[in-house]
Amino acid sequence: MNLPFQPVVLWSDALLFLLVAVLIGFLLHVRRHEHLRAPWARVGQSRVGMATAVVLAVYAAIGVLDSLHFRPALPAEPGQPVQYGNEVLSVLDLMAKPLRSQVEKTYSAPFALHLYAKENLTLADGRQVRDYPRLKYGGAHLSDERERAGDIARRAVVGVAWGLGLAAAVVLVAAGLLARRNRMPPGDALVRLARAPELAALRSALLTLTLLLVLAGSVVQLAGHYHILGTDKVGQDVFYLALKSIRTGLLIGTLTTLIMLPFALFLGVAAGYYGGWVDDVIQYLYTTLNSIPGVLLIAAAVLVAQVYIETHPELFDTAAARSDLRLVFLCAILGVTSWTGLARLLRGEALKLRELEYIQAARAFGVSHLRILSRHILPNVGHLVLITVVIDFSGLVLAEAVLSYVGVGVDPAMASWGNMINGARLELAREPIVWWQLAAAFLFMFVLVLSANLFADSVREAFDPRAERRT
Amino acid sequence: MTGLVLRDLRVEIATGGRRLAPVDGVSLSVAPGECVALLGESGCGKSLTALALMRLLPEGLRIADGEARLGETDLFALPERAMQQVRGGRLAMVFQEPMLSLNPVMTVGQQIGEALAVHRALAGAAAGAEIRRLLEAVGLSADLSASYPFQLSGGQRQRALIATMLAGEPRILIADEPTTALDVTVQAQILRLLKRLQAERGMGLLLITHDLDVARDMADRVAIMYAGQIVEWAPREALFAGPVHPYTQKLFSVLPSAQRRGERLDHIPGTVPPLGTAFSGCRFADRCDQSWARCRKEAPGFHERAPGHFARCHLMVEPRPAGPASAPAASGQAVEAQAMPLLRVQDLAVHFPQRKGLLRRVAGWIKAVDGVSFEIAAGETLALVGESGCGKTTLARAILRLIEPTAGSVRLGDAAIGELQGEALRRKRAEMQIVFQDPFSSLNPRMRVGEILEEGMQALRPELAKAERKALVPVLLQQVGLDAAAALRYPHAFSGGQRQRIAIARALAVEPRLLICDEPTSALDVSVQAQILNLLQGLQRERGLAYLFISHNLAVVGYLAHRVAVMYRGRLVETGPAAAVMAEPMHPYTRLLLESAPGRGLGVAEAVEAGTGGEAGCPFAARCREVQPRCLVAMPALRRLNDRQVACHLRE
Ligand SMILES: Nc1ncnc2c1ncn2[C@@H]1O[C@H](COP(=O)(O)OP(=O)(O)O)[C@@H](O)[C@H]1O
Ligand code: SF4
Ligand code: SF4
Ligand SMILES: [Mg+2]
Repeated sequence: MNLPFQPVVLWSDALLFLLVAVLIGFLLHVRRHEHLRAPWARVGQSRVGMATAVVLAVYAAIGVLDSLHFRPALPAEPGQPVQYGNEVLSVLDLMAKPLRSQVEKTYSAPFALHLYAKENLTLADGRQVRDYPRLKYGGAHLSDERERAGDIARRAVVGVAWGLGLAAAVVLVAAGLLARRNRMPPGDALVRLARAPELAALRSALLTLTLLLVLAGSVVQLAGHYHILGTDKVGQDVFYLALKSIRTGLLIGTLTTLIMLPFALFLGVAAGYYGGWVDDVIQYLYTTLNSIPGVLLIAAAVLVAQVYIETHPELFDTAAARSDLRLVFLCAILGVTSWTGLARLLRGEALKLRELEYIQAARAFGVSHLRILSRHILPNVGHLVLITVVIDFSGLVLAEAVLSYVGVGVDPAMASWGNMINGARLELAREPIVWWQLAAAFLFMFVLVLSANLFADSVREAFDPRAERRT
Repeated sequence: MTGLVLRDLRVEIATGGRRLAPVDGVSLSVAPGECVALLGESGCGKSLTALALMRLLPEGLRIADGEARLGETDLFALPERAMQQVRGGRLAMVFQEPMLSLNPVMTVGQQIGEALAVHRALAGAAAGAEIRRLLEAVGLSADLSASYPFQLSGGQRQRALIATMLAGEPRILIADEPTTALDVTVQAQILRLLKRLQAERGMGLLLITHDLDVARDMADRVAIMYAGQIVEWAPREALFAGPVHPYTQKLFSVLPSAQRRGERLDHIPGTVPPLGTAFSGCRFADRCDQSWARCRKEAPGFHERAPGHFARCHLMVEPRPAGPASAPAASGQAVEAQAMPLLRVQDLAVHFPQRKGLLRRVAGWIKAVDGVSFEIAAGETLALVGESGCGKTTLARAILRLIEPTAGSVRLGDAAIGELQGEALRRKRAEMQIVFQDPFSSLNPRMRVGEILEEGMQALRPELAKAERKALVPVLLQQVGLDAAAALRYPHAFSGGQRQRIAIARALAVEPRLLICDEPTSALDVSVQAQILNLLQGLQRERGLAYLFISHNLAVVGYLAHRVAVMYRGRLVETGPAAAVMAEPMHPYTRLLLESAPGRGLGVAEAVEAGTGGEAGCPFAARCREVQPRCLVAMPALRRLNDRQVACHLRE
């Protein structure tokens, strides 16, 4: 096979795809069951819920694009079998090629034309001066430095126009779908889309999307010609790093849950349902785990993993595979230390459900324990699991940042917000200050965590049993 | 007049772009020293009326129209700050569930003290004296001032709550189903207390209830509410002498009682219209057996039939045109029980270990069921009565072996249930099934009705193929009076009464010979209760089912049961034929229960609230009005007297 690339599936990719498959399966399941659909329909009615869902979807899309990995073919000599490079790239890397390749020498500020450090320069007349040199790529197309402001404005306006155009197209498509569903003329549908109170949530989703498209349009126009968020110590584009960090953050937030869920579900429900010595053992287990400081446990586990990875280089054919394994390992250890909260919650709920009369009725029918657990208890704790998972997500994203800062997080070579913050730490003391690295990490993380929290709120509200009366 | 006058109250809720009115034009008045009962089935808007008066409507609901005057004050026009002064001051409210209205982390005394500080600016020693006075006024010992709500019994909590509400010296007290969660004996005490306080203080009382008998005992005037409107408004004597609105008449005729034994109860077809129903004429027309064309076209006015006696019905001003009369209630024959015992329970005991301390050592035993023996014949109904907590449900569960009994034996037919294991136990389980009290927690909300019915069959009738099981579902549903289409829906789509039917169908699916019904109608409205009781009687006639019918409602017991067993603190104290026991109770406890039942006036002397008596003597001694010296030292045994059994020294 002479493909121009060789697909690579890292461990975390595989788990992520599994997660996506689980999610799709879950969605199909929900669609088929009226009682499951109702609360999600309530999330769909919530303006905040829909707006944040759009933001989260954009993050997720970037994360998935960044998880489609491959190794590009090296320029081959004729007649030779194709050779593939050692570097593992993702589809996102391909799309953001200029960002990845346009590496400066060291720090430069956002939209700067000059490096942030002085160098010895030879002027045209042969004199030697010490000054800030022009950047190799940032604004290199400008012949006159005074054109910068005008150029940026021009490109931004073009980008905004693009964004608005795309947004208009999306709105028209939405109106068209609405018209088809309600069998009304498209014009009326457009009016309804703009006015109808029951479509308020859809409107806020579209508004959010418009904002994001406008932003994306300008970024696309500008990012190829300027470092819009500056460059870091080794001259890499900070915007690119922040984009790449999205995948890391999302993985930590979701894979951890995937790993923790079976523990929490099984142990929590078993403890509550069976009671007696099973309960005693499980309670003992999580009380003990809970009384060890989490950071210590994580630090110890990560260090052990690091040693193992370093002493077995033969197991990894690329650097990416190595740092990926460490990421998966981090998720696993975070999962192992964080199942206790949910397990305790589920234990309490199962304890309550066990006494409920429909469970007693099932027992009076001689229904087996396993069947009672799977048919009666599990479906009735589903909402608790869901709410916990959504709420935990943002906590885990933040935990990654803290752990990487402490040095027991992801591989230092991996793009992550924690590593960005860690890198920016020392430069904060510099004069003048290098602020953009920290600001970029903060901005990306803030938007994600805020959206996740607001989304979690609307999910919780929709699943609140008291909400059922209101509809 | 310093009473409360409410005019044309309309409460609105906006959902899905529509405005619905759960309360639609309610007017009533309460004079000082008067008790007005607001009576209706659940969901008709009684509580919302009360909450609107207090301006405490839940989020999303608002007062859309109407006027409320308390003396000279216009309640709906007051700013919120001024309303806070009125609330708990001149206008106070007692809720159904006292545990939810008392703050769990404050002592009773602190809570009363808070109300005193806010409404009467009392503090220090003066407040302390007043707290003691109030506690004594509601019949609580002043020592309880330092107790937290969880340390009190249900009746004590309700008293404490009433004391808190009295602290502001209200002119009007609203009580929303203040006794629904309580036992009959405690209910009688609380009602007596309210009546006394009302008389002593010249206070107006707006009593919200769903129980006609409570209204009969308490009210001076009665308002009957249906679907957000008052349909009849009359002085008590006039109403109980002759209700004029068809709905009120039906409410009277669906009530079971010992006198109606063997009769089929009248019933109101259908259910209360759900919120959001669009009405074109009379709101009761769909369920009214006297309705005619005009009822569906034109909403009836509120007509004065006799001075002070109003009803919202066209019949008040126009006789019903001749037409097909509604069928009179069919009367069935009483079911005669057979002699052969089906279930034989002997010396059954269930003791729960009480663990204490860090190591959870067994410190003592709670004797929930302590040596109970009885028999039930095929086709017979044995009613088990007693206050909550006396062990009725535990006994039921032990019979089914959902709990392992500590001692004793249960024989069903020829098999000892206690010795069965595995497959044999499973097969025997098909012969006895249970219907629970709470129709909302007895069905798994995540399973379709069809799946719920099939689950039991799958476990207990493995000989049925899948297709056969599926074919049985519509048959079962039809037997309990439900549509076959119900099989595809989830429980939340059904009302309480319909859910109870589903629960009965689930039990019938495995063809039991004995059905244990654990308070199957106590969570239901009276009209629905009548439907379920009729259903149970019909099934007994058709299939010769035996029932162990657990209930605290003596009217239902008198109507349905062949025999009665009275239980007190884990033991039977009296058994016998239902008619004889109800007519002539032999045990003082049975007598207390019968006298406490509402609808007989409130004339019974105050009984001591359930306490923990001495270990050695009669367990009832602490509450017994006829207690003797030997009662304190010797436990009376259950003795046979002809066809009855009594455990009391007076009957030896
Ligand atoms: N918080 C609420 N939100 C929406 N509907 C409510 C709320 N509370 C009560 N309702 C509806 O208003 C109607 C009357 O309720 P309620 O006053 O509690 O009846 P009652 O006290 O007579 O049983 C019912 O249909 C009920 O479902
Ligand atoms: S108006 Fe007609 S339907 Fe309504 S209660 Fe009277 S007779 Fe019945
Ligand atoms: S034995 Fe004594 S205390 Fe017990 S019920 Fe009879 S009279 Fe009362
Ligand atoms: Mg109510």
